Amino acid sequence: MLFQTDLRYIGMGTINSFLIFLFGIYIIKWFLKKKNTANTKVWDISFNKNIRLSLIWLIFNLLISVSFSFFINNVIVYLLTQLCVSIVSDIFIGAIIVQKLFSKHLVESFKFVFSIQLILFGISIILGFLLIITFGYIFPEISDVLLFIIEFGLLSTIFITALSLIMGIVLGLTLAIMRLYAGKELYWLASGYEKLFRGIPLLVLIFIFSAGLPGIFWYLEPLDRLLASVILALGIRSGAYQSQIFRGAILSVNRGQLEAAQSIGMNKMQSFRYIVLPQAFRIAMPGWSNEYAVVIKDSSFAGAIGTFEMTLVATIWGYRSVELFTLSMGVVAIVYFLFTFPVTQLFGQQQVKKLKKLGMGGG
Amino acid sequence: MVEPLLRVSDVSKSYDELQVLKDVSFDLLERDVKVIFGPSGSGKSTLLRCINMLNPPDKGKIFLRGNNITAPKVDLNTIRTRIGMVFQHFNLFAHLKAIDNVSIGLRRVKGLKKQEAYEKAFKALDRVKLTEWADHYPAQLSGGQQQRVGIARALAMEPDLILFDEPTSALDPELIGEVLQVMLDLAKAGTTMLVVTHEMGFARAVASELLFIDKGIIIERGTPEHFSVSPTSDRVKQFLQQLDVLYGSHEKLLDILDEEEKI
Repeated sequence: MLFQTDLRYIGMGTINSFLIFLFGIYIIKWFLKKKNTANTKVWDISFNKNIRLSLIWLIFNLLISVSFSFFINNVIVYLLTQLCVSIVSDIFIGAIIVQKLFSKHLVESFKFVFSIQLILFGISIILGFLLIITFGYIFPEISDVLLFIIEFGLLSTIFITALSLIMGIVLGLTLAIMRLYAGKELYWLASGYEKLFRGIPLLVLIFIFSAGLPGIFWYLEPLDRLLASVILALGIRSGAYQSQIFRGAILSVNRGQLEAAQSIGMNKMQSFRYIVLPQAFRIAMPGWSNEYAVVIKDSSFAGAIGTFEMTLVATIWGYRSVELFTLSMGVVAIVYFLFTFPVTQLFGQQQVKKLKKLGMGGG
Repeated sequence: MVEPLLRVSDVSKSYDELQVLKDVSFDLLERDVKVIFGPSGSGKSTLLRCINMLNPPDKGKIFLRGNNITAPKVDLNTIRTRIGMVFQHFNLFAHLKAIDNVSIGLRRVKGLKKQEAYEKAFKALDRVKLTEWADHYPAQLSGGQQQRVGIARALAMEPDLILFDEPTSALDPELIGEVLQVMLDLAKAGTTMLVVTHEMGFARAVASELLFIDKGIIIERGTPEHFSVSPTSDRVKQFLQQLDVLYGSHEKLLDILDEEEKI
């Protein structure tokens, strides 16, 4: 049938495109480094532009691979077609990118991209077949459980994490400001809040808001009530921790800068808004990425009261037989890791490097 | 009689038990440069911070163009836009490029548009000879360049006078020259300045009057010639001699070291 498709194809096409993207980026990065070692500024600019353009490249690749999976049902034919079409399109897009970056002739840049793509072509064919053989024939269960988790649990987990973090930011920032700038009563209120909610287990909080106080979300559908109480519990607890992060960050902005801001006539609001807050956010980033890692993993507690998210979905899949339980838990562990590690790496390590460059915080 | 730009009359300030300033009074005329010097802990910086109302004085009055800025209901933020301040440790905004450091006051306090503020900031950076470094963050600049950005930040607000709080004392000896050169240029262009510094060469070149402060009291005041030829009080003589040893003749320092060895 024309539009009957296997989700597995899309998954493989996606992974394949992503790997091609990564390889391409690193090859271009290596090439640029070789060319521009003397002039670091040009290198910085061209690399930043390059990343942005390569993202468009990746999206294009993904679209091609997904659209082809609707028409072709034979795995091997599908993979080859996808590779051929994407290679042709990538060469053209890549040539334009190179031409824009280095203002080279079209023919020359075409040659450059073509040679890179030829290497990538070989790599991706080998990868593609490895993927097909592993996930299609040897461990078909892995791709099954992966797709099951992605289909039914991933969105919910991301939704819970995002909303709780946003709630935590608002709460945490407010509490931090209350502790630092407001009067004595508000200070006590804020520090009391922190002490209270850092001392209660998350699961207890979730049960309090869902089963203990079932009336607080009376206006929602019953299933949404559970979701809302999970988000509330996570957000309230995250706020208690985030207030510490923001308080430390605000305090670590050098006092002299505040005086300098006042000396050019800024009032307290302005100096906080334009001088302290932008720096505090940057300093808070590494700590905050840690908090993200905590919240996304603790969103698995939502399964305890029957809210659908990745852990619960993986558990359901694993109940089919005991041997499958190890597999589903292993896969869900990898998915959590994939969503945690890159973010902490990006916001944590990279931000620390950036901060050092600006001479703020972190050393 | 010409009305002074700044009149400080009987200003006193104490932190807890410690009295830092005792009845300090002086006038500063338009286009005038005065230098305050004295041993550390004598209240020089506190005096500047009182004038800028960062630490309001306990007693006494300060008049800017005849307006009492120590009166209770004065809008301090407006006053501060008219008094520039350059800090010992630069205090640049670490997250902003040099040009933004200079223009942020124009944009956020004076409400200028971005383009307009940048043009003015560029002029200010040009006066401290830093236009090439406009796109650099403070951490990428040397101490001397950072201090010049600090001066440009004060200049850009077009203040009535600029207070300098030991602008060169946190710098390497090699970098002091470039900052002093900029300050000399400003003084010659007619900027009203009140400078706390120990750079006697600078004081001799541009200052109309020197004030020697010790333990919160102005002990002696006079022209640069007065201090170099015939300072009256012993405390000033002693202090100047020490400065002379450190900055002046090399032989004297060697003599002192020899004497210390003998002891």
